Amino acid sequence: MELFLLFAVFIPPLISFTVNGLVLPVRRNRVWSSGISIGSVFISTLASLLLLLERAKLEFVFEWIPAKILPPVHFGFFLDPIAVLMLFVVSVVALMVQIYSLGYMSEEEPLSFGRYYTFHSLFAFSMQGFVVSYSLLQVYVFWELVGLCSYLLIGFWYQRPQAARAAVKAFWITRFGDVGFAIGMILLWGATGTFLLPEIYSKASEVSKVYLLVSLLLVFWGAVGKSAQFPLHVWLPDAMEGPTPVSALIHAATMVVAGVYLVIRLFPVFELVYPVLPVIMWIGCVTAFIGAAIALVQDDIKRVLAYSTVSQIGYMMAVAGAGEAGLGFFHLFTHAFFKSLLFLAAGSVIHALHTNNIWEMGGLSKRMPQTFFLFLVGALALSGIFPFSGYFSKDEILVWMYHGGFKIPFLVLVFTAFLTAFYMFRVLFVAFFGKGGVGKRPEESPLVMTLPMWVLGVFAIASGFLKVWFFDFIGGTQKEVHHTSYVPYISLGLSLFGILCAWLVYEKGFLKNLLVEERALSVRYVLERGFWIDSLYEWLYRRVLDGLSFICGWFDRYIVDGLVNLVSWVTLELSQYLRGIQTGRIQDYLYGIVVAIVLFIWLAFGVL
Amino acid sequence: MGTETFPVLSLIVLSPFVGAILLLIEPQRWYYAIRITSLFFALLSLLGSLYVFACYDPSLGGFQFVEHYPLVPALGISYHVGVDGISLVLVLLTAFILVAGVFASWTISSRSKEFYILLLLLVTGVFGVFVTLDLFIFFLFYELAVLPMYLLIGVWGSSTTIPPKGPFKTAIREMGVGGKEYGAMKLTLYLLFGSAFILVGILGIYGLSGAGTFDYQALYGVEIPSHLQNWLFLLFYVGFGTLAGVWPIHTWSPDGHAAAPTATSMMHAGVLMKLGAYGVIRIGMGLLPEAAHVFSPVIGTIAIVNIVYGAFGAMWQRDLKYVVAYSSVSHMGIVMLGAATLNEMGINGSVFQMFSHGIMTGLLFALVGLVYEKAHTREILKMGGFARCMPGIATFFAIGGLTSLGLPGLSGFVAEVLVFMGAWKSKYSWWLVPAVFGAFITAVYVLRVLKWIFFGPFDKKEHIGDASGVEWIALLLLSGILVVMGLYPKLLLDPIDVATVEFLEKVLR
Repeated sequence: MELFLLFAVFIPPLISFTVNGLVLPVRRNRVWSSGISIGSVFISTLASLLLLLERAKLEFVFEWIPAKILPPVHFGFFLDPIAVLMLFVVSVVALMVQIYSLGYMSEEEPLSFGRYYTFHSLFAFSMQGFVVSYSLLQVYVFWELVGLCSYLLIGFWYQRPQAARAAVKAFWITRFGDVGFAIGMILLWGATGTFLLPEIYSKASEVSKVYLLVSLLLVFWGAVGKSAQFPLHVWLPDAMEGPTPVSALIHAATMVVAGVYLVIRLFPVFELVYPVLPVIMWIGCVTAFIGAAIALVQDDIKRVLAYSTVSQIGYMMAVAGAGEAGLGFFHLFTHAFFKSLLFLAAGSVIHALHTNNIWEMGGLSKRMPQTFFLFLVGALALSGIFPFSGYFSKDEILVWMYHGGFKIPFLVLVFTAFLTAFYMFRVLFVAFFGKGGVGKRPEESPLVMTLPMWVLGVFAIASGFLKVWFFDFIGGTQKEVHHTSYVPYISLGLSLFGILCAWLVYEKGFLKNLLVEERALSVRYVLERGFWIDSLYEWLYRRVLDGLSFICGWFDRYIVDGLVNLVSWVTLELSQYLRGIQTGRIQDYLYGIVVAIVLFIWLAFGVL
Repeated sequence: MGTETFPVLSLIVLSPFVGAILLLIEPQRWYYAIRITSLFFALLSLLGSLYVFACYDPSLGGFQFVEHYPLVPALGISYHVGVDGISLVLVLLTAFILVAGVFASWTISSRSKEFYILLLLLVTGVFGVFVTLDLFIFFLFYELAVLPMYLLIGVWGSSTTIPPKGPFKTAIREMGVGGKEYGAMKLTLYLLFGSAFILVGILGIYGLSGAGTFDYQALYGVEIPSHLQNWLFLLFYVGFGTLAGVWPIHTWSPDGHAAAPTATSMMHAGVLMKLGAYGVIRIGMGLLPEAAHVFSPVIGTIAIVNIVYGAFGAMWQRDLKYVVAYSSVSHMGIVMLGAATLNEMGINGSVFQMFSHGIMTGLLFALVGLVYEKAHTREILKMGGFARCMPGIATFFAIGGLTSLGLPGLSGFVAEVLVFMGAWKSKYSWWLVPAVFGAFITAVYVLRVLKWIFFGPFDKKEHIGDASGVEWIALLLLSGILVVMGLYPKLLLDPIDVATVEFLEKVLR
């Protein structure tokens, strides 16, 4: 039964992808293409809900690569509470986003509309396959497939050069991470002889520490790329060139947290060697801070949200690295809902105004009341204000960091919480109350767009209250809950203070000259340049990669092949000279014969 | 199976040959008859190959479908054919590429009759090489596979201009680099250069073994003194390595492939380069196991050079055909690396990569041909936004490109991951790192080329169409295989694995 339900989760999107992909008349037809895709995800959602209610557990293994001397490679599916919950999150958000896209993408031509849903179906399949993968190699397979969907959907409007560029950049950077993942994975296989996760858990303890350390850090490097962690976070903001619903689904709720999910999955192994978890924690902390800091100066509403995603995933990584993966997963769970809500709300604004720049918005609170309300819900949740879901998940993280003895990470993260509230409400005040939208008359989005937002809004509020149920469900991995801690008050206070600051600056105009107009302000300059990390990659690409390719290509064409040509040219030239001997005059030949005979006698007898 | 069963391997080999003979008597003006005849005999070979593939029994292993007729008993020459898991896969690959190639050259306008005759002759040679178990006949087929290429490129090829630069610019200018005649001549001379080594090697084995036979199975396991083994192996490595595009004797391949017409490039990069790798594995390593151990570090390290250097070389190219040609150099490195690991995963991966790369590069060359035909240029930087006007070609190009960069779900990934695993398990585990890095560089240039050609605004005035008619069949066939083998590699790996295990038992004894 569980197996049937599991197949009911991820086979329908695969069928939808195949049908949409192969049958052109279906893809050409708006109703058919979107209907099949949404229908399939709807079935997935129902099935995953059933799995959730059943608390399904399952293991299913089959041979994928046969071998006789070395151990063969197995693939498989498995379900445990974490996988079931993740399946549910993926299905629900995918369903909502696909419904919302009916409105958002309505201006597309039929064929491109169909293409959009084709890619979405492939994504739903790959993401669900990723979640239930039992084998590390299979994790990698689906990991790359969701990366492919991300590439295809970022570059959906491929005619726009920025979109094409962003798509390629996203693939390159995540692929750069995957170099580490692939090597690390093969190293782990080399030591344990298996890709199956439980066998890796049990055999990893026998592997030498240094070997394990190297391979795990390499695997984590893949997670860094996929989950847009420092220093590979640069692709995510650019990925905002894709359609906004795509950003909500792939680049906020699901694919981009795959790295966190991987860390959670491999947590039993990560725990084994000492410096792995601290590395994860510090990368998470640095990313959380950097993401939030850069978000402060972004003018594109989607880029703010993108950097915010970078920052929030940093929280998840940090707490996982601090030894409490369950809390990271809880934050992943709540974040999926409120961040996709924020993106959809932003998309609603963009759809109405056809601009991403917050300074060209303004006064939207009256014209788009539903969108405004839902954006506010999302912003409050992201800022961690009681009783919205972000409060529960983020404060649990801060409490854990504080009481777990991670003082400096705690300070970084709590300061980041303040920044989070500030940048989020900066956007809110500027876009919804500002004066930038003068002369524009945006309309509230249609029901097909607002309804999914309301659903996600309900989740964004309610998911926080599920905390106790959540930890009970995933097996009570939460070690110790500090109900009496004063940390939540600190972070709540800081978040409220952040909102107040944003209100003062962007609504009341305090210090506005300094913070907004003063472009030369050095901090602002550093942030706008994103700490020059992008420039570093630009340099690596332009100078190092292109340089090496020039060296190899030139060397091959003009030296290696040049030598080949030299040989044949010299041969031809020499033959020109040798040809001169064939004069056709009998005297010359006789002369030659005589010389040869003389030479021969001299050489043979040494006389003369 | 004994000789009394239906001689299906002979059918596979001879069917294209009979087709070529039939074509000889058809007049040039019978446009469709020529194509249908070629297609018919190509399909016959494909059916035969599929039959062999389906009926090969992996539990028995060894060479099956054997036919054995003595030809010159005094010299130990016989017509001896049979397939094991490795040759089986390559026969299948050849048949697929042949059928796809017939479809891809459907619209060829000048001298189509002669074109098809030469193509079919060439394929006869290729099939022959893969199924024959007699070294003398092997060499005959080998030459048959190499020579028609000269005419195919010289007559139907296309030229480009390469600016002469560097320290040898006089030589480059004088030789006329970039022209189709140059490409044809270079390829042929290079491969004849290689086959001279092979001939010496074969005669060396014949003489040194003292068995008085050219039969592969009889020579399997004869004792040859190790220092002589090394020399013989080196002969085979250079000889076959030329054809396999081994660095630094690979430079015929970009020029040759770029100059060749579509079906020829498909056949050449798709199948003939595999022939070189097959020769190294089957004859070089199989008959000279001690030397295989001695030389495996060299082979592997050169393969690494191929992978990384080939990828960087491809990245530098701005001519679409050269990009695909250099990517072949890089991917053949993966084949050779897999062979050099001398372990199960590596060799399985190597053979799988031969198949996968054959299909993939066939697809890519077919697409390059189509793009060239529609857009009348091969200059990547003159293209842009083509996804708008040729969505079908763009999709298939993406599938081919993604296979090339090793995207899971497509066959290239299986091959690469197997070779990577094999590399880590080999004695020289460091090979893993540059090999994976090479796959990353592949991703860089493949995606960049895809972006340059298909993405961005479309600003051309003239009408550029998508593929049409039978052209789709070739594209669908090849990309379908890539997907199926990527999702369910066991299909191919079961027979390959049997052959690999037997091979390793002999080599590692």
